[in-house]
Amino acid sequence: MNRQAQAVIMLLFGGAVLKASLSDLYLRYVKEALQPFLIGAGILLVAAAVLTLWYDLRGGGDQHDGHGHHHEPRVGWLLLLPVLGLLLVAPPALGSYAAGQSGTVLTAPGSDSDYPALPAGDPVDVGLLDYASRAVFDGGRSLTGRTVRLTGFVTPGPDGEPMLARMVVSCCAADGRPIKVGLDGDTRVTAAPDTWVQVVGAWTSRVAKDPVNQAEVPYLQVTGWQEITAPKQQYE
Amino acid sequence: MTATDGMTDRLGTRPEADPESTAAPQPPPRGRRFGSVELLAVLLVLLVVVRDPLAALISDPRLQTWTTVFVSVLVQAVPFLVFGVVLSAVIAVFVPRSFWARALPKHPALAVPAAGLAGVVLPGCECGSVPIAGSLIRRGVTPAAALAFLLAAPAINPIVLTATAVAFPGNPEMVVARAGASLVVAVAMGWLWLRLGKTEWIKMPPRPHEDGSRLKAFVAACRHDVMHAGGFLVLGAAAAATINVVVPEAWLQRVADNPVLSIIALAVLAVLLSICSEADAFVAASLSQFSLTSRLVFLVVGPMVDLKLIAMQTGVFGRRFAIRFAPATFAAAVLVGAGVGAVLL
Amino acid sequence: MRAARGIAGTAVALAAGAALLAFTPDDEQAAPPTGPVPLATAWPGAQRADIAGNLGDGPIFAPGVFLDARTGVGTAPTPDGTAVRLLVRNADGSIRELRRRPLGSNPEFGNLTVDGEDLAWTESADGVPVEIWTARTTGGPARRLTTDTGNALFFGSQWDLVIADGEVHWAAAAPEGEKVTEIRSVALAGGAVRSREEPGIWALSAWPWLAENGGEDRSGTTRLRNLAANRDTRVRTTGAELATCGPLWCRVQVMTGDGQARIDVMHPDGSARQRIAGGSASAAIADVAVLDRFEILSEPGPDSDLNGNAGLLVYDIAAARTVGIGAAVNGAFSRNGVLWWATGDQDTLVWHTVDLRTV
Repeated sequence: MNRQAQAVIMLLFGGAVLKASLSDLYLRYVKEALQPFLIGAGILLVAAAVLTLWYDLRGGGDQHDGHGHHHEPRVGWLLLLPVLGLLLVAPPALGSYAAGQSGTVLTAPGSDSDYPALPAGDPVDVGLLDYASRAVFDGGRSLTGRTVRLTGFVTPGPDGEPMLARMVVSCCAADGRPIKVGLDGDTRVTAAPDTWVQVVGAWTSRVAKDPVNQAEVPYLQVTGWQEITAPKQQYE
Repeated sequence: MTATDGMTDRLGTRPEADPESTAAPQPPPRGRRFGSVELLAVLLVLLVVVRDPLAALISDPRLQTWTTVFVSVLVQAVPFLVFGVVLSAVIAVFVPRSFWARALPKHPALAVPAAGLAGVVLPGCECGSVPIAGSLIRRGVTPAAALAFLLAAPAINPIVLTATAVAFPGNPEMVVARAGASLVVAVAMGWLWLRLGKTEWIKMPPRPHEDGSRLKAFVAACRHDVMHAGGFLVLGAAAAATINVVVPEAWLQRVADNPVLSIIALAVLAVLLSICSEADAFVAASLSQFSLTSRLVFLVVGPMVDLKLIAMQTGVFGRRFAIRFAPATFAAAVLVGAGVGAVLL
Repeated sequence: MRAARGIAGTAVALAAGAALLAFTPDDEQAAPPTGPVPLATAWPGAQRADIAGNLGDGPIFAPGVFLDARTGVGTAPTPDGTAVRLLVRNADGSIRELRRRPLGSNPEFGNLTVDGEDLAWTESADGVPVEIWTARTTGGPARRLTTDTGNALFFGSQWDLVIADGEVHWAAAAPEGEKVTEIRSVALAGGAVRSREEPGIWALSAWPWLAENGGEDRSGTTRLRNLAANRDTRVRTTGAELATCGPLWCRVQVMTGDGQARIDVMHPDGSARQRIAGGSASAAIADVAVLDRFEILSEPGPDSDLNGNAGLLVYDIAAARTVGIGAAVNGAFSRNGVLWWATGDQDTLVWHTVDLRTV
C-alpha cells in the first residue's frame, strides 16, 4: 500500500471516529466518558493523514518507492472494516439476541450493607440492576409496598414469555452482559423483542433461574406498560 | 479450541502478511500500472455505489451483534492506540538513540532490570518496541537489556496500565498484578539470555532510513504504526467478536470453570489474537466468564508473545532468534502470570 | 505521468471517502418494530374479493356495507342517470334493488348497518327529514321504520346506527341545543320511537356503550358509558394525547411539539398499552379496533400529495403485528367486520374486500 492510500484510509478512519463521537453514535459502543479521548484520537488521525498527503504530494510522490525493502504494511487495508462498520452499518446497541446469549449479571453486594430506601415517587423509577439486586439480595424488603417503573427492552425468556432486559457495560459493548427481570401478572407485555418499554408494577417474590448461568432472575408484577423510544444511553 | 479454527486459519497466514518479517513476493513498485491508491479509489467508489444495500445486509441478529462487538472493541481501543503510537513516535524521532546506551548501567546483569524498568516510562505499543529494541542493540546496548526492554515496555507503560485500570474498573489489583508479572517475566528473560543466549542467533537486517525533517519522520512513524498496529487490532477485534458471538456461553463457561484449562486457553488465545497491548485489556474484560487469573495470563502473554510479534521479531532479529525466544517467553509468561495471579487476585 | 495518476487516484479516493463520511445509515428506530407482513402471508385463509367498480348495467357502485367479502349493499345511479338506487350486489354480480329516489332531490342513503339478517339505513333528500328504513337480507321489500328521527347526529362511524336486541338505536341532539343527547330507539317490527336523555354530548359505540366526546374542542373520547349497567369508565390519558375509544380499546395519538409522535392502542383504563405506528401514520377509519382487534391505518407514500393514494395497513392487536394491505389505496372503509378499499381512478375503479371475521 502506498502512502497516499494509507493517508486516505487514516483520514477515513479518523473521520469515522470523529463522526461517531460527535454524534450520539459512540454511545452504542462505549461509555460516555471516552468521548473527549475519541475526539482527540480522531483529530490526531486526521492530522497525520493530512500531513502525510501534504508531504507526499509536495515531494512528487515517488521519492522512496525505488527501494525494494521499503514495504508498507499491507495489514493496514483491514482498517477499512471498522470504517465500513461505523459509516455504513452503524450497528445498533446490543439487544435481545446478545441478552439471550448470556446469563443475567447479578453481582452479589460488596458488603451486607442495607439497601437505602427508594426515593420518593409513585411510581418510582428504578434501574433494572438496582431492582434485581434489591429483589434477590435484600429479599425485596426495600421494594415492598412501592410501585416501581422499570425501563428496558423486551427479550424473549427461555419459556417464550417476554422478559425485560438491559445490557450492563463496564467498559465497552464487548463486555456487555444482560440484566433480566421476568414479567408476571395478568397484564401481558405484547411488544416485539428489542422494543423499549416502560413497565409499571410491584415487587413479587417469584424468582426463576437463568438457564445460561443459573443466576437468579427476579420478577415484577406488571400492572401497566407502554412503549417508549430507545433512550440515548442504552446501557446501564 | 474448535470454535476458533476459522480464526486461526486466517491468522495463520499472518507472518506472510507481515511485510517486515519476510520478503513476500511483491510486484516491484516501479512500473506498477495500477497502484494501491487507485485500487483504494475503485474500492471506495464501489462502496459509495452499493452503500444502501450493504447497510441493509446486516439484519441478522448474530451478524448485528458481531458487528456491534467488533466496532465497540475498536472504538474503545482507538484512543489508546493513537496516543501510544504518537508517544512512541515522539521517542523514536525526538529522543537520540545514544541516550539509551548512556543511561543504562554498564554491567549487563544490572542493565537488564534497568532496561525493564525503563519500559515503565516509555509508552509504546509492542509494534513500536520491537524496532526500538533493534535500534538499541545497534547502538551497543547489551542484547539482554534490549530484550528485557522489548518485553517490558509494551506491557507496563502508563498508557497500557491506564487502559487496564479503565477496563477493570472494579479490580484495581489487576493493574498491579499485570505490571508486576510482566516486569518479572521481562527481567527473567533478560537474565536467561545472559546465561544461555548466543549473539550469533541475532541477525539484524539493515534498516531503511527516513530522511527529511523531524516532523516528516514523526508523521511517517505515526502513519506506519497506526496502519500496522491498527490492522492487527482489526484482526483481534474480529476474533474477539467471533468468540463473543459464535462460541456459546455455556461452552466457554465449561472451559472457564476449569482453572488450568482456562489459563491455557487464554494464553493460546493471546498468541492467536495478537491484540495491541494498548487495547488488549478491553478484550480481556470482555472475556468475563474467565477467572481474573486466566485473564491476567492473557494480559501478560499478549504483549510479549503473539503471532504479529513473532513475525516482527523474525524480521528484526532473524529466524534463529525468534524460534528460541518466543516459546521460552511464552512458558515464562504463563508460569509467572499464573503464579502472580494466585497470590494477588 | 505516474505522479499525476497518483494524484488523480488520491483525489477520487478522497472524494469517495467524503461521500462515505456524509452517508447516514437509516435509523431503524424510526420505523415500526417489524415491517408489515403482506396480507396473503398474514391471513392466507381470510376471504377476499376484487370487485369491479361498475355494475353490470354500467354505473359505478358505491358500497355502503358488505355482508361478506363478495356481497355488498350500496348505491348506484340508474343507467339513464335519472335516479339513485340502493341495491344488494350479489357475489355473482346480480343485483336486487331495495330503494330508488329521483336524482333531482339529492337523495342520500347512508349509515348502512347489519345485524344477522336485518339491514337498516337512513335516507334523506331535499325537503324530507331523515328516515330510517329496514329490509331483510334474505329478500322481501324494504320498510320505512320511522320518520321521527329527531335532530339525528351522525359521526361517520359504523355505530351511528346500531341494531341490537330487535331495535334500531341512534343519537340525536336535544331540541333546545342543551348539552343533552337523546338516545333514540325504534323496534324493527315498527312502532313509536322511544327516547332517553343523557346529559353530555355522546355518540353511540358498540351497543350498549356510549362514548363522550369531551375535552376542550370535543375531540377525543374522555368517558365511556354502559347504558345497560349504568356504569361510566373514565379514559386515562396523560399529557399531550388524543384518545378515541370503543368499549375495549382506545387509539391514542401521542403528540409532541412537532405534531404526532406515534399511535398507541390501550384499554380505556390505560393498561396493555402498545405502540402500533410511528408519526407519519394516521387512522384510516374513524372507528377504533374493528372486531376489537384490528386497527386500520394509512401511511402516506411518496406520491400521496399528488394523487391522494396512501398505503393501507392493519395492525392486528391480538398478534401484535402490522399487516400490509396495499401500497396505493384510495379510500378505506369498514363496517360489519369487512374491510374494503378502492384502487384505480374513475375509469379503472376496483373494490377490494377482506372479511376480517374470517382471519
